[in-house]
Amino acid sequence: MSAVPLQRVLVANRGEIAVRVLRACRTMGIETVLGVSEADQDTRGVALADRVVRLGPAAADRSYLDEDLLIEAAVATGCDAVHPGYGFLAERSSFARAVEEAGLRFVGPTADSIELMGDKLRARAVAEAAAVPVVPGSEAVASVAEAREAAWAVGYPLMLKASAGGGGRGIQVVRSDEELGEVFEVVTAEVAAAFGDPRVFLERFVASARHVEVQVLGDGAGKVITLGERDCSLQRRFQKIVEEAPAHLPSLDEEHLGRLRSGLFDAARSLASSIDYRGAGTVEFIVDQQRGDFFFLEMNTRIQVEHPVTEEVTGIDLVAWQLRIAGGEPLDLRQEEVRLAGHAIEVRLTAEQAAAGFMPTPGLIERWMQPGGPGVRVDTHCYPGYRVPVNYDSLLCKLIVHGPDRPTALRRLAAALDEFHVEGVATTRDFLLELIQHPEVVGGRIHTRWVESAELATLR
Amino acid sequence: MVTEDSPLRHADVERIVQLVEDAGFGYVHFEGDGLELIMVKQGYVEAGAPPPRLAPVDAAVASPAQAPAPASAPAPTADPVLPPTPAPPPPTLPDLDDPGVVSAPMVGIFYRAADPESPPYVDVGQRVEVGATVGLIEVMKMFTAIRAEVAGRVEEILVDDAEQVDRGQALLRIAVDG
Repeated sequence: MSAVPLQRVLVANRGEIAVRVLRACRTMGIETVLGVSEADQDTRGVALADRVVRLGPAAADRSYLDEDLLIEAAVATGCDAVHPGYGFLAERSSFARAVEEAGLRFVGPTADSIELMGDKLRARAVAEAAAVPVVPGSEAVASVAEAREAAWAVGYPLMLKASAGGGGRGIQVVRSDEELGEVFEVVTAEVAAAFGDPRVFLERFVASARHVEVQVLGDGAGKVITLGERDCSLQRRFQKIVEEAPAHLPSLDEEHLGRLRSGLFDAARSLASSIDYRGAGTVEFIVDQQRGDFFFLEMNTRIQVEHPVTEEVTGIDLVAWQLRIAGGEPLDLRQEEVRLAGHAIEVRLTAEQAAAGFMPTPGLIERWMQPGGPGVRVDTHCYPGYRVPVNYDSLLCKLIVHGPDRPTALRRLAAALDEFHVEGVATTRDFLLELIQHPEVVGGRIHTRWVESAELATLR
Repeated sequence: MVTEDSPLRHADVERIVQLVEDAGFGYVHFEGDGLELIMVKQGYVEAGAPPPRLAPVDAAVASPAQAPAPASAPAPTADPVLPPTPAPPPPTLPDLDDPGVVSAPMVGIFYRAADPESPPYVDVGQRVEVGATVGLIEVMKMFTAIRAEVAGRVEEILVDDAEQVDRGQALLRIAVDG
């Protein structure tokens, strides 16, 4: 790819990530066009974009998910690139391909990389070929009988997973042969309906696991650098709630932890390099925190929600690098230049009522007073008077704190959450505040299913 | 009367009516936020005063405040008079006490079917049993099944497919058995 810096980018997303991409473009002198649905004409990004085009009605399939419409918008407004953000079309290989066929740059990896990593079974094969450990599991299983036979080798409890799944969807924990028989048909049917691909496979369920992921940047020609890890083990229904960098694993001594981290970085680098990965990506692993072993889970071929914690500990603007790489600039960042400093934590503040089973609470934000001060960052599209639409996900804002060490970062986070004041819509602030002050969280004695088993006052 | 461009929705009016009903007021005059609302309860007579010049109605009257009038003209909102045409009977304001009314438990998008290819869960005239799914509400990517709490025949569906609804808004009406 020749080095032609991007001139004008269509931001094909909404919410806080649209704001994040617009900000990166503005600091780089790249013009921006923001596509908005009817429900998003008052979003914060509208004020930051050089031009705003109305895509269509609120329904995502007629706006943010309409591939032809977005490409038409990009071409008609003279853009030379499209940034897909995360979610929506970010990991649709057909979109990446169509963008490039229209003569535009796709700010992300190649369509082939997206396709390869989007297929969990093929991604496992890529990892194995790159000598990256994978969770003991099966090939695709087509019937209950086949699944039971494979389960014998994998062992219970196990996870029944959709090959086309991702982002926490299409996963079911199964504890016995009997349960496998009960859920197999249901899960297969659900998976076929949700992803258009009925293939499922089995994977060992690692109890007391941590979710640790490695941020990478690739130049598309085999050079890959790693930017440290993020621990995203505090999850609810496989959705991340709190993310931090570096991982805090008190169950491992310093020597084991050092070995684990360099093992993770090497594995992520060799996997991404083996597919000539281009742009920003994340290689996800599960870590057995008692033994310090790790296994490849999947690769996300996009910027991630939790990318700011990596930006805070590295001082590197990941979205700017996405844009530079898409413009064909060389990845002239050396691995030795990537220095990890201090500790960063992100929480996702959502419009949900935690005590009511996390019922979403869209509506008018009457008051919005966000925290600030040293080491406090707020990525959001919200402001006082903004109406949170019913049509999209419930993320209101990401609150990211950075400090010289984990205790300082936790204190800053607690103070910042306490200072955060929103009226008009219910938020998960109190739940987050309780969570990040919980002795088990502070002490690092958690695993990926811990939130679901914890007795939290804000959930009653 | 709730006009097309009124900032109030039927559900809002219903809620206001209920609040006023509960508070026991006979006459309410509210002005602000770009609208004026006058409500007079049937049979209301102000103590020690002549009856209001309003024709007593049992429905709410709401109209968007008009643009500031020239100083010489009387302020359009100063005189509480009814619009020249009487308010039509409100067919879309079903009685919320009617046990057959299924209302939205939350704000969201109402869907009559599981997906665009599927037939609707229920149609007018169809019989439903207690617990039958009659629709879905999607709010922020979370789907909630709306279920019948009574058995009977679906008499009226009050909301279009994929229409945004407010919490408490009547979705459909079931003629209860017996």
